[in-house]
Amino acid sequence: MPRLLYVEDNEMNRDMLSRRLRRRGFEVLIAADGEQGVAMAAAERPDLILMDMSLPVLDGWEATRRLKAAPDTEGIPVIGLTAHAMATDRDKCLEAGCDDYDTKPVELGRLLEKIERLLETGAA
Amino acid sequence: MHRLLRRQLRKHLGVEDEVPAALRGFVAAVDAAYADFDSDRAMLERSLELSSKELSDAHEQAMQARRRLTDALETISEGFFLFDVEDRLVVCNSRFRELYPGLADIVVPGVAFETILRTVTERGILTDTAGRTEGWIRKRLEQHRNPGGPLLHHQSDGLWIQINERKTQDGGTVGVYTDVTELKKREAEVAAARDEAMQATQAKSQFLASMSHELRTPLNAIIGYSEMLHEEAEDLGQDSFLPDLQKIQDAGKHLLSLINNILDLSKIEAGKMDVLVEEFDVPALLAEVESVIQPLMAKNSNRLQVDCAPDLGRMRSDQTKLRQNLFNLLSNAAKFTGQGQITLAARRIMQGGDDWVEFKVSDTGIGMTPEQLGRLFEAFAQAEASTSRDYGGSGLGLAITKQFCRMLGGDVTVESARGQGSIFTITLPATCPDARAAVVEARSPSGRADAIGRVLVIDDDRSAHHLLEEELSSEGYEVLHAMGGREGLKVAKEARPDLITLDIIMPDLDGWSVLRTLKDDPDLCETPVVLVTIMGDRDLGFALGAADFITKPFERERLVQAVNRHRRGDGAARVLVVDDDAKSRDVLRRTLTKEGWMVAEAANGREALDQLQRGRPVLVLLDLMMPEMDGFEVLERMRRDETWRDIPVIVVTAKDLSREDIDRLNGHVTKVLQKGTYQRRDLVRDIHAMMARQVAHG
Repeated sequence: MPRLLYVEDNEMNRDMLSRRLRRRGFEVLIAADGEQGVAMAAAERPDLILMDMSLPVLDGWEATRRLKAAPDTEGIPVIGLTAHAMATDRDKCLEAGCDDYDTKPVELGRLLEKIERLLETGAA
Repeated sequence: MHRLLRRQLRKHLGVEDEVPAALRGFVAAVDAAYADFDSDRAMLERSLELSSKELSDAHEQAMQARRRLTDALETISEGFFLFDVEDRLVVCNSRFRELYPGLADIVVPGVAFETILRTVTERGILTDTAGRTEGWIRKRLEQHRNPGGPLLHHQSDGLWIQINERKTQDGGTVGVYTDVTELKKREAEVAAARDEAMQATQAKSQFLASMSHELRTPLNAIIGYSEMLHEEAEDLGQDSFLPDLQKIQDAGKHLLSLINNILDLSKIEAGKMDVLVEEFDVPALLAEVESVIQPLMAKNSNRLQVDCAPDLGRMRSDQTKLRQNLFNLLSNAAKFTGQGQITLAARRIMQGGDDWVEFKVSDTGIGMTPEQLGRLFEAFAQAEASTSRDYGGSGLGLAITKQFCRMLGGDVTVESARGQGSIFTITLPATCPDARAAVVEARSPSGRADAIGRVLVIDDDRSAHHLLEEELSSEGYEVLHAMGGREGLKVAKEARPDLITLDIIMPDLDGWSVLRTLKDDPDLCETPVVLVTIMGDRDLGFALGAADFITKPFERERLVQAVNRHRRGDGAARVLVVDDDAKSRDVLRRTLTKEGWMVAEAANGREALDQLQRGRPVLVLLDLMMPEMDGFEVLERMRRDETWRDIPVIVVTAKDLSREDIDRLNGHVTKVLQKGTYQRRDLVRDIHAMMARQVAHG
């Protein structure tokens, strides 16, 4: 069963997406802020990370940068989740090191496709 | 006899009526003198009377004039004073005294202006003189003696006084003092109101921004959870729950779209809606839109057909707004059509010399009446009150679409008839006009992840850019654009393209100079450059058929050497010197005639061709940068003509190229392309070939 780490500060979003992913057969670990996210990624080595971009303590961009800079987490694919659909946000995601990005509110089908693709090919 | 005389005779001589004979002559003379004296005196008295009267009249007139003046001065509402050339007070009116009650005792005719100033500071009559008395007095005196614009004084009693001083013809000074306290108060009120309004707008924008988040969050929960419950119910086989859950979800999505629309419109209204311009692939966008809108089509059993013209290619505009517009039009079409056909057709059109992209959404739905059409693009005015109830929607979508189209430099129009369906047409410029757009350039090192190479096009001609863009990007190249030499150099430095196409004739910095700069730059000198000029020939490489090169200012020896190399036999050999600079021509001519050559001259390409007609020279010395027809073109023409083809040409250029420069250029500038008639296959093949060479060398 593939293990996903979902980093999201909003409780309802966390609840909704984790439940839906679990029903799809994923094991879902949770972190509520960027710092927790980085720590858990290093400790648990999930197969993929879903990173909300606007997080407290440490924001998603910085967390992603750190994960990509550390040897034991750089190989984990990261999908950035951003509330905005504008090109600048997209670029910012990719520049921070995300392997892919998706927009909120999340459309499960679209997100699942991206997750499947990255789990197959691995991080860029 | 004069009475005085008679009296004196009686008194002093005892003479009554009889004057002694001896004195008779004398007495007569004296009598006459008295008489004269009397008459003189009478005349004097008379004239004195007259003068006196005149004086009195004059005085009366003066007094009257003075009274009138004083009356006038007292009537005006401003304070007034007049100081003479020695700066002493001549007169002031009571208004002035009223404005300065604290000075009442010293403001008397004759007082010095400076005295008044000192008293003002001593008595603290103005608010800001404390602590800088001498400085203030000096400054005020200076202003008084050389009056300029109006002064503004704030008095301790709260009044604001505006002072206008002017010099009179005889060197005195008049001053007019106006109470502007009311005016100032009103100014302050206006400023306060404006600040309040700005703050309110600011607060409103901030409110909207935070509301946006506040409103969307619970809605996401409603939509998300109902979706989830739907899935779980499906899994558990609880079909009876499904329709209700679907209703919650639909209502939630509807509400979300309403909120988004309202927030969008508010943003547009507040002037805070930005346009983000970037390049994107139009067919890809349409494919995306098609796949997302499919479920909505299926709802009313509608069929969607997407027609993409083959030359759609890319455009530069706000992708997000265009996407939103297309969704809006398509969902409207789906809403108002049942079991019908909806078509999305996109094509490029040329209108008035500019490139446009047209998107047509047509449906076989219920259509609209002329009245409905009239109010279609207004916010909050849906076609009919019942429409919202029956068909859903908020009446905001089209208003937003119209605004967005306008912001991108285009427009949206509609054709429709009741019962016959509707056609909505969005027309946008292929390149969004810059007006308020923040241009987002994908200059990150990654750029287009899938591009096989990056080409920089430097050209001042838009259509050249468009052409190259089309050709190259559809081959997988990422194309960057610069409209002139200077911009081109900047972009080349930043983006390090794999290849540069370079126009020669450009207004700000000609292609030749750009080429030189590129080759001088260690980071860029290895980049292959394709020269572009109006006249083109496959074989016009940098060598350009040129036999040799000399740079200006040239060394005599160098020139002589070069020239003599091409001499044939003896006899007067003819050289054609082509240069737009008369001095250069002169120097060349003198040098050559000294060596025994005969010289013909031409000031530009056209004249050069004339000269060539007149008589075939043995050698041509050719400048490259000339007006009317440049050296490149001359060479071109010469190559094409049988009789001229073999004439050796020495290019004489002002650009100081060294031999090494020329060699380097020789290797990297190999092709010249003809604008307007690119052979697509050839162009792409050439570029592929050059890229391959680059890779092999790099």
